Amino acid sequence: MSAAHESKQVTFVPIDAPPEGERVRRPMRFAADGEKRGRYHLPTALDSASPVGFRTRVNLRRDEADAALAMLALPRPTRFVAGPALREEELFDESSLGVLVARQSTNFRGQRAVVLGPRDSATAAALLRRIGRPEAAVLDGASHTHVVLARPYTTPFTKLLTFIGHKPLANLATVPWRAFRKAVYRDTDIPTIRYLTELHLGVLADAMERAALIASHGRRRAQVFLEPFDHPKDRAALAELEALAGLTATERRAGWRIELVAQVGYACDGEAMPLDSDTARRLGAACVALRSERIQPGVNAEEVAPDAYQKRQAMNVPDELTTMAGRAAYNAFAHFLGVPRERAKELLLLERVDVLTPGGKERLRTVRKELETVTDRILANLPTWADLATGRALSRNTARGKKAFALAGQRIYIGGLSRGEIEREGKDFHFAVRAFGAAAARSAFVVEIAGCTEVPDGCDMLAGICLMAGPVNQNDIGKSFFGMRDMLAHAYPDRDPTSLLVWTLKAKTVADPIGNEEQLLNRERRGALVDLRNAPHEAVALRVGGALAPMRRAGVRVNQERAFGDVGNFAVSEEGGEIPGNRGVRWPVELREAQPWKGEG
Amino acid sequence: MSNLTQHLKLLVGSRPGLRAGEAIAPIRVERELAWRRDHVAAYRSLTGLVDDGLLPLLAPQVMAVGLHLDVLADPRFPFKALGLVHVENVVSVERSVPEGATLRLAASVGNARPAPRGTIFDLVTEASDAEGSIGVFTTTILARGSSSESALSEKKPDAPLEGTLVASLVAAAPEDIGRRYAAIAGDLNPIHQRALMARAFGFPRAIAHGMWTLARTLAETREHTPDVTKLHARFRKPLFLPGRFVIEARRRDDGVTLTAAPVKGGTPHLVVDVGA
Repeated sequence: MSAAHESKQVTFVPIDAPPEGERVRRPMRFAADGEKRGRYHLPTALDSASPVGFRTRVNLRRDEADAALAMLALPRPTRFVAGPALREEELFDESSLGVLVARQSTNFRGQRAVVLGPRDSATAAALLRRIGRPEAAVLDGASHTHVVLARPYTTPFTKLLTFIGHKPLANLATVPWRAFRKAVYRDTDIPTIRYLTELHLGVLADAMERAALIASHGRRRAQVFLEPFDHPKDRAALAELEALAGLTATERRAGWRIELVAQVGYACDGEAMPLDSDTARRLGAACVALRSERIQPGVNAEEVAPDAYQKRQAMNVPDELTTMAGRAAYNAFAHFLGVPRERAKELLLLERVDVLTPGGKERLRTVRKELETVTDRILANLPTWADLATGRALSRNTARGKKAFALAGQRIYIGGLSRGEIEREGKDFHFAVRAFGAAAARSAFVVEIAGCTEVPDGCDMLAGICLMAGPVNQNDIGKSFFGMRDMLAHAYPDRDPTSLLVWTLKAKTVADPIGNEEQLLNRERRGALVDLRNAPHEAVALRVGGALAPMRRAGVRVNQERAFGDVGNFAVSEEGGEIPGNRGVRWPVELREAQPWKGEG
Repeated sequence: MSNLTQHLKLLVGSRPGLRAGEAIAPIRVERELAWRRDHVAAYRSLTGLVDDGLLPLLAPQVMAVGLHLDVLADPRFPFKALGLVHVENVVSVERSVPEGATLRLAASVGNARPAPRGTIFDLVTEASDAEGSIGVFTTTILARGSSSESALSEKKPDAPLEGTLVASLVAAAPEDIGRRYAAIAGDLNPIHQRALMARAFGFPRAIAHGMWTLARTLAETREHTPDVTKLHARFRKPLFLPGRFVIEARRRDDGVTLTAAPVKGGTPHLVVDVGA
């Protein structure tokens, strides 16, 4: 690798805690008998086979944070070496930090993985070579390979979009026509909906690199191939890879495609990153516990929120931390897209909004106003016949969107790319969007790790972050249907930008209410814009002896183990009361210590 | 005699009950039985047990269902079988045996004593093979309202469970689990079959077999009770089907307490002391 492609080291930046009197933490209590339960109470139970559960941040030591951040500047592995046969529990840990821990605002059931053993991995490597992957070298000797399938992003929000942007009267014909094209041709109403799938793949790619390291205590590395598999000349080899992954015609019709492949293998000398067991387990538990932080105390809390969310905290995100977050973003973008690091800095378009400065406040007001204008125009243009037929659900949900786009934090970044510049660079734009997703996730990780390191007593955290696609989608509606300009056009007027994500960084000591997380874990409270967290048997299949077997399903039994649960970071009430079902139980020892591909390596 | 015939026999004829101080006539039946490997596999699949090549802990008692029915159908047995409530189980196993082993099973009844809501008695299953005793499974059963002391029917409040919580999960009891388990265990009691049949006996819906709930609880918590040989299970409240329930394990100084409880809290369906 040339020096131009080398990543820069990301180092830990401490965040100053506020004075003791200003330190607050999340109130953790169950609703009393007769009290109406809300999002600020602990859930009554957890009925989920997800490895996540209701977790609290792990208070990391400085050396643990250093180890986590050291993973963000590693070059790609150059070769794999022989190692011991993989145990099932290692695969569970790795998947729990990868495809099963859809976090941030990137949570949707649009990804699943088929894991191949050593023998099938060799076949997959040969196919990858035939397909031709210029982004990185295809390696031999993988202990296993994750073949990730994804499908188009479809949620109630995307259904709502069908009704947006039509002319009066004509909408009687144009709405059904667009619905037909969406169903048959997988059209999207606005470009950023397609980009969501790409961003999620980038987020996953970044997570998978860390997952391989943490699950193996630094002994294994992942070689992730992120470029879309859509070149016509590759079709024959791709069909063989699809057959290996068991992709059926029905699944293809439902939109499932191979979108990412991660080879994992034992690292050679100099490319491993040894982690002691305790550090690896705690980092795993820390990663599982990271959450989007949407609430800035004293800024965007609901009136009914407890006191902990009402008082503004005199905290700020250190400039050095945003520098390190940016460094991680450039590392990831260059790493996955395969461009020199300095070029990555030019290609990534980032507008920084310092909310605590007068100019930043004004800019934020403008952005908010523009987004609200879009909402107002959507409401004014919704086909009345469709809105009435749905009991005004369309207009209610649209209006509710305003809350989802609330931008709060001391530092806000709007990020995107210029399609023309990317294509002139010789890169596929969708590939670049994926790399952008990885860049966003890696930069967020820097803030999140800093936010849970050396946290003083009386605090849940010191900083958090929320990656938001909602404001970008809203802006895209304005661009696509109402002739508005891109959010990034303010900062990059001459570069024809496409905004892709918004980061909101928050220095604070109180974590968001656990009710936000409950939306992802409680079937009965399934949110409109988010999906339930996957169970292993729902999203991961192991190919053993030529057949696919869902991970962790045996008879009536499915996974109830919380990944890295031995660290014990479970949400409990102030009195120590546990949420029934939250702690889980380990998968039977005979099954978790089994070697799915024994003798193949 | 088929299980169905045995069940039909239980439905006919009147029973005198037991007067205060009266003992149950000694009834004992014995038989040699074996479960085929596929039968054990089906039992494991329904309960979530892992295949360890051994006969599951509770299997000898389940295998003895036919013997139990013979005991209850015996003309000397004083209570109507339908309506009997399984309230406790004490298991004491000396050694494990491989799956597929032929067991000598003996079932007997006795130890009738007054209880708050009727009379309780023990149905004892002894399991042995050519090498000697394997274990004893004592099922305590309540015959409701048949005791002069049934007025003492005050229900004791639940004491808080002691110990450190080490496992907690929500498990499913599917609507058809009673029928599927009955096909394996041979216990065709209508209260476990379908809601309509259960309603005839005063239950709003079918209820799970206690021995299924116990086996399921043991299966999920095996991490914390790996070599269980002794347990005392108390069945406190029916688990209606379909349903979901919370299985928990609490570690005490002298053993482990397992519970299967409603998700919304309240009286547990089952409390098990392991190693007591």
